[in-house]
Amino acid sequence: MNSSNQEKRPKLFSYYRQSKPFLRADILLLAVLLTAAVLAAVFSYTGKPLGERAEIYIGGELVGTYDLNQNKEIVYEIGITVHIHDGEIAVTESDCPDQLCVHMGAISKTGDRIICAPNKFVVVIRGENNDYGAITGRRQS
Amino acid sequence: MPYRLRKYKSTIALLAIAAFFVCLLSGCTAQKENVFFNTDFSLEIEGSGALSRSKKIESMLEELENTLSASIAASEISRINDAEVGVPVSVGKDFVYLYTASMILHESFPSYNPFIFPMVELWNFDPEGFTLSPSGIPSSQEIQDLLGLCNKDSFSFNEQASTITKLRTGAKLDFGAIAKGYAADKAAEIADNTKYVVNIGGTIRTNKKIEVAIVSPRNNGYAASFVLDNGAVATSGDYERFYLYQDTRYHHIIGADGYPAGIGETETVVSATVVGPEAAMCDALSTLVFIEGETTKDFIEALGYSALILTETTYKTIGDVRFELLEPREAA
Repeated sequence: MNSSNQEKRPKLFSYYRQSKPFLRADILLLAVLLTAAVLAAVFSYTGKPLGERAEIYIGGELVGTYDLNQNKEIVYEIGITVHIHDGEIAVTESDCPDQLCVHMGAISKTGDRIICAPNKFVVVIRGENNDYGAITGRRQS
Repeated sequence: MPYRLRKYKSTIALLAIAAFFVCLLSGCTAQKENVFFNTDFSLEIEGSGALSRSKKIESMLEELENTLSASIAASEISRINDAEVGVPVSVGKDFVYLYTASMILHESFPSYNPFIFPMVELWNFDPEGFTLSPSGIPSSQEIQDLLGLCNKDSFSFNEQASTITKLRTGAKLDFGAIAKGYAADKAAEIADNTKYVVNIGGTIRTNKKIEVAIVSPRNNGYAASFVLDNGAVATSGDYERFYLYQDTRYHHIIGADGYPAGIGETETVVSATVVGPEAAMCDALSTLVFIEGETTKDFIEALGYSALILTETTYKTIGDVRFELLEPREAA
């Protein structure tokens, strides 16, 4: 960059070139942004294992997030039992009348869902292998 | 700006910038999963006011369910279905919209029938009566006896007074074929200028460009996919609610003769997907196309909608949308 070129620039640039590299406000801004970024990252990743995971909702509230590679049995007070086994999740017991959630069997693919309508209970698989933005049509079992 | 705040100007500016970044990272997107209308509801929304809009959408759905659910005794639908002959029942604007829209379709195609609910109950496909292993199916006599009740002459609607009056004992109404789509359209209205995808039991509305997969009617994967760019889609299938009785599949979409549509026919429709601008229309038309098949072609195209009709071995497309087949099927 030659000097004649620099002279043509507006005063704003020469001001910033002559000022100290870091003003107190710059450092404050940097600190605030970094804190915000770290907080946001921690906030959005806490408790969520990487890879395929199952989220469980009751009445619209997220009540648990589980790694599908850790075998587990979870019993919910509303009368539902869920099993995680070898990367799949299934509702194995429910006190609902139609038992559609139990008949659904095990799911494992990102975007798959099991619902128990009478209990407002939803299991949904989240993960990175999301091929589709949405699915139309609902398999009964 | 008051004087005492002036010296904090830079701090205030910094906080505003920080808030904007935090918002970008988390606050301006929301994701919801719940159950409404006996099916799954999911919402992805990003943009200004995403969180408050998502809450507004959930309360709207709750309200709509309280109006339309046959399982809730105080709902408008229950009050009508439980009403005595000759007693007017007053209804709200959601009901008026759904009734009017259903009637327009019903007059063009009587098989699109909001009055078929007594027959749905006879076949045990209503949410309360449904069972995976029924002890029997209705006799042809039972079906004939009930069929006369399942048409528009069973009710009279007074538009000015917003009332509906039952004219025959036992007649019942339901908007199961259009309610999910109507709800998705109302959600889209609340989501407004944010970016959203709302999915109510497979009836989808979005203002984004997304790839949508259509569930395979017989296998575990997907039958087809297509690009949905700012619009809606709905699918009706014989695999969505059905039972097997003596090795025959009986599904929940009842045709004009009182039997599950297409039963006993060869190469009958097993799945009908309709794509277009409005979710309510897609929802209703998917049921119509499932029952009537490709005879609806001109009607669907005139409305500016597209469709994919699947039988077990063939496919047929209507309209401009390009569907990518993911399972082997021959063009019909």
